[in-house]
Amino acid sequence: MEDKLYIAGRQVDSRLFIGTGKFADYNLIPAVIKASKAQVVTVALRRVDFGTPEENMLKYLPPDIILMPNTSGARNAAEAIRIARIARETGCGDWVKIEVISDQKYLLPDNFETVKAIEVLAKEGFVVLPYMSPDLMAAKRMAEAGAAAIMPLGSPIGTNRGIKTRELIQILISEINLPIIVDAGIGRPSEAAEAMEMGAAAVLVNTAIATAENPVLMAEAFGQAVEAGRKAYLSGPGSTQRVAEASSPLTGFLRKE
Amino acid sequence: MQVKINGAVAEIPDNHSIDDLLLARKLPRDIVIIELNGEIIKRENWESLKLNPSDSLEIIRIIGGG
Repeated sequence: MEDKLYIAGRQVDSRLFIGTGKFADYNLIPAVIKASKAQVVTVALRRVDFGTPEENMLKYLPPDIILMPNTSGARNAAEAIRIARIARETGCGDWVKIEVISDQKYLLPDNFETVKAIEVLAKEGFVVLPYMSPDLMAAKRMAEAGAAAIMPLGSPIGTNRGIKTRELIQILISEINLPIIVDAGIGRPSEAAEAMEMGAAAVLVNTAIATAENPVLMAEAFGQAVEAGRKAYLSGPGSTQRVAEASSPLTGFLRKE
Repeated sequence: MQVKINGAVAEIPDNHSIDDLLLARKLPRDIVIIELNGEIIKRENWESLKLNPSDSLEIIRIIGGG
C-alpha cells in the first residue's frame, strides 16, 4: 500500500523524527538512528564552549538524513530568525524547527512570535516546521505564514507524560491541511502509536529515547510503534461498544441443553 | 586589542583574521559558524577579514538537540 509522507515536496521515508539532545554519548547516535530508521533528525546551535574540546557532532550523523536544526534558545521571533539563518550557514539544508520559548518552567512555545518568525523564514526559502501549543487558530496562522508542517506538543518538553493535549491535536489533524507532527512529551512507544492512530503524520521523539537505559533498543521500539500506529490508522479501526459483542458465534455450543 | 568573543572580552593580537583566531583557539574551521557584529561571515572571507578593536564575534557550532 502506497503511503508516503511528503513535506515541502520532499518524500520522507520514516514517520519517526528523532532529536539528538541528552544522549550520554554522541557515539550512541548512529546506532539509534539506524535502529529507529528515522530520516529527519534535529540538532541545536550553541556558542562554542572554550572550556571543553569541540567535537564535530555532524560526523555522527549519516549523510542521507534530513537535518533539522532547531532554534532553541530563541525567546522571540527575531532571535529565532537569526538562529535559523546561522543554521543554514552550516550547509545542512533549509529545514528548520522553529522553537520560540520564553517560559522557563514549562517550556511552552510562544505561538504569536512563532507566526512572525515563520512569515520571514518561509519567504527566505526555509522549510519551516514550527513547534507550537496546539491551538487551531494559531495553527491556521502558521499555515498561512508558510509553515511546511505543524508540530504541536503532546505535553511539556522532556516530561515523558504522553499526549495530554489529545483533543486539541485531534482538531488540528482534522482541520489543518498540513502534516501534523506530535512533538514533545511522548514518553513511551505506545504513546507514539497513539499519536499515529489519531492520524498524526509523524512524531518527534528525543528524551524518551535518549534517557532510556538502552537507547538503541528504545529507538527500535519507537520505530516499530510508529509503523504499527500508522498501519492501524490506515486500516480503519472498528467502532467501540459499551457492552460485549461475542467474537465467537453464539450458536452450536457443545452443551446438553 | 580587545574584542568580544561569545559575550566575553578577549585580548587578541592586532591584524588577527578570523582564521588566525580559530587557529589560536584550536577550533577546526569546518565545525563553526561565525557571526561578526550581527552578520554571518562566509567561510571564504575568514582568511582575509581582519578583526578590528571592539568587534563582537560569535563562534557557534552544532550540538545535539531536540
